[in-house]
Amino acid sequence: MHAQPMDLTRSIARLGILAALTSTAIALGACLGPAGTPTISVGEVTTLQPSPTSSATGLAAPDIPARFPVMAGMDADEPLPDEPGLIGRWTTAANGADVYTFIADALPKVGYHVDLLAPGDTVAVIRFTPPGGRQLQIDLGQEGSGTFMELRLPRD
Amino acid sequence: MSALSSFDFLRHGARPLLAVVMAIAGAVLMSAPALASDDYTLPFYDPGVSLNYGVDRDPRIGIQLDYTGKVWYDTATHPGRVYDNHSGLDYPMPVYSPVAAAKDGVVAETEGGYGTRQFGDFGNFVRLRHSDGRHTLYYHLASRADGGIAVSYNEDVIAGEKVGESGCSGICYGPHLHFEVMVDMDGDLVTSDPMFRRLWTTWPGRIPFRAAYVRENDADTVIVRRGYTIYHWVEFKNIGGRTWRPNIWPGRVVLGTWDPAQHDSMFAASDWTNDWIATRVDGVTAPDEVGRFTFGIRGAPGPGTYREDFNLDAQGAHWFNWDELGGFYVPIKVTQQIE
Repeated sequence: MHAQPMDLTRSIARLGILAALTSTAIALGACLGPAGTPTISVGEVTTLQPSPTSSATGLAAPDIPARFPVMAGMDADEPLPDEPGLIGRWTTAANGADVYTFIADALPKVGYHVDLLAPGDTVAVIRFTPPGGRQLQIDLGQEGSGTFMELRLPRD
Repeated sequence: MSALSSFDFLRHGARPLLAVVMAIAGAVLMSAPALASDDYTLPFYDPGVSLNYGVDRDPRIGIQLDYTGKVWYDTATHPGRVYDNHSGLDYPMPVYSPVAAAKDGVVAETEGGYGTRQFGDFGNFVRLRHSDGRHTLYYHLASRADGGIAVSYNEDVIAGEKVGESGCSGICYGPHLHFEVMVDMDGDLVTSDPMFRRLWTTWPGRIPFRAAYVRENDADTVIVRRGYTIYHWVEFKNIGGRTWRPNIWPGRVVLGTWDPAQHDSMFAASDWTNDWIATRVDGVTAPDEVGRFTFGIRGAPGPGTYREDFNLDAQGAHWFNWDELGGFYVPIKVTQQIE
C-alpha cells in the first residue's frame, strides 16, 4: 500500500522548506499541471512532452522527461500534491498488473534505461534513467478500485 | 483455508482487521526461534533472483519495521526492504518460472482455477504444511491449466521439489512470487518473518540445488584398457540449501549422464545404478560440506578418445545447473587390451 509519505524524521525540516517553496512558486506562477501537457504517440505508447513540474515544492524536482509514457485513459492529478520530489501523478481505472506491464514495456520503447523493476502485491516501483538525464522512479499503488502512478525522484 | 491468517487479508483485501492479526503476528515474530541455516531453502532455482520486499513486522499503518530492524516512519514503498503491512516475501520472476518447496512437507491446499494473469480476488497458490508447525505459501501462481500447480492435495513434497510455476494471478502488480511463512497458533495461521535476525537479502536459506566443483582424483584424461574398469571420484561442494542424501527418494542426489540428460553410457561399469546413473553421493552432505561421488569407468568401446558429461540430479526434484558445476565431464582414453 502507498500513501503520502509521512517520514517523521524529516517532516519537521520539510515544513519550513515547504512554506518557502510554496510562496516562491505562487509568486512565479509556475503551477503548470501535467494534464496541461500535450501527449505524443511513439509506436503504441502515448507519451508526454516535457513540461515544468507542477508541484509547489517541485523546485528541487526535474521536469517530466521528454517522451515519458502515460497509459491511455490516465487522468493527471491537478493540482499536484505538495510533496518533495514528486514530479507527476496520474490515476486510472486500469488494474495494477496492466499498468505495470504497460510501463515496463513502454520505458525501453521510448529510449529510457530501466534500472529496477520491483513488482509486489499491491505496489510496484520502477526506476529508470532517460538519455542524458537523472534516475527517476515510478510508484504504482492502489487507489480506490483503480491504480495510481507517481513519477518522482528516487527514495530509499 | 478456514483459519484466519494474513493470507486471508492478502487475498481478500480485508485491511480493517489487519491490525488485529498483525498484533498477534507481531508477538510471534518476536518470539519465533531463529531457523537453522538449512531449514528452509529459497522457493526457486534461479540464483539471480533477489528480494523485492520483505515482511513488515510492525502492525501499525505508517510504521514499517523491516527484516534488518530498520524502522520507516512512512507508508512509502522501499524496494529491497519492505512496504507497509506486507505479510510475505516478494521475489520478482517472469511468468512460468519454476517455484520450489522451501522445506519437506505436505500439500495442505491448492488453488489453480484463476487465470495466470487474472487480476484480483484470490489468485492461484499452493500451501504446504511442515513438520515444525509452520506453513509456507506460494502465491500468484500460473493457472493449473497452464501448469502453474504441479502438486496435489495431501501429496508429500521435499525441499526443492517443484510445486508450481509463477504467474501474476490475484492482486499482483507485476509478475512475482509472494512467498510467505506462517505459524499455526491453535488453528490460526499468522505471519512469521524468516528473514528476521538473519539479515540476509535472500533469506530464507539458499537456492535448493547448487554445487561447485572442487576436485577429482584425476582431472586429466582417464586412461582405461578396453574391457577393464577403473575407479574415479569427483568432489562437489554443496553451496545450495538442501542436504544431499544418497538413499532417500525423491531427492537423493546422483551423478548422471548429461548432454543429453539420462543417456545410456558406453562407460557404465558394474557398480552403476543403471545405464545413466553412475553413482549416488557417497554420504550425507549438508550445505557447505563437500560430497564425493565414486564410480567406475569401464573401457567398453573400442580404442579411442572420448568424453562423458555428467551432472548432478536430485531425483524427482531437479537437475543441478551444469555450468555451475564447471561443466563437469571426464575425458576418457580407451586403449587396446593387453594380451
